[in-house]
Amino acid sequence: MIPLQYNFTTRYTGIVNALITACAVSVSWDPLEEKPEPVAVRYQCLWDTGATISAITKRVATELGLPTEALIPVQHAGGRSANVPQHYVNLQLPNNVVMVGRPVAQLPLTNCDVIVGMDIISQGDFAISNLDGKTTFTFRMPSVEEFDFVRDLDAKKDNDRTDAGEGTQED
Amino acid sequence: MTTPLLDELEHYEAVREDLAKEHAGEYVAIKGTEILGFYRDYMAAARALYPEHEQGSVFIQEIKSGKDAHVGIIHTPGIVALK
Repeated sequence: MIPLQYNFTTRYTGIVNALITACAVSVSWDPLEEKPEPVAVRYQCLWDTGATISAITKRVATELGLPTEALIPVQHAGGRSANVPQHYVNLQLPNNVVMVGRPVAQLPLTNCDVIVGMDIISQGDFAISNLDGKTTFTFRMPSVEEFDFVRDLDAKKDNDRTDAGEGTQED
Repeated sequence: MTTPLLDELEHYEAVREDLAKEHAGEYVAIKGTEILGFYRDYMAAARALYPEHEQGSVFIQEIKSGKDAHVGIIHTPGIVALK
């Protein structure tokens, strides 16, 4: 039986140096509650394994009317920013998974409005490949399998040896 | 202009390690220096608090232990605009 999982795959037309997809952000809201669903706004989202946290821009916070609900320090290439506003949002990923009540830091991001960091990436399986000069990015939740290219190659070699052995005759 | 929730952050940092002994992983809500409660997640805190309190007037944070436990790190250069 295939375990319940939510997957998406994005195929780019060439090699990319940043994994960007669409995502939708709304105020935090419990889908199980019988309340009107708040508007979710689509933004460009960077998937960043170099970020320990997820983040949004001030534009997102303003457009959605997100209150600041905590303050955190953030270390980045420009140094350390103290008292960075933290909001809580619902984040809808391309696999239609809605992350409910997730903390996001408000930062002046360049080239995107949302960063999905390792706090979210680490909850699923994440892979990229670059076959034939085209980047393919795939993600699923929850994690259902360990990726191990070394083990896969060893298994293929074992199979090849077995197949070759079956085809030879000893005198 | 005073940064909103700064007093609450300072109080949280002052009591964080004590709170973590019994409530690590839970969410604490603080207003001024008053601890309003502990909750299993953010949504539980919001459901309990926001009928009474204005959003943005309460500091809500997951309780973590350790000096740098709440530090977010963005390793990738160039994605946070420098001032």
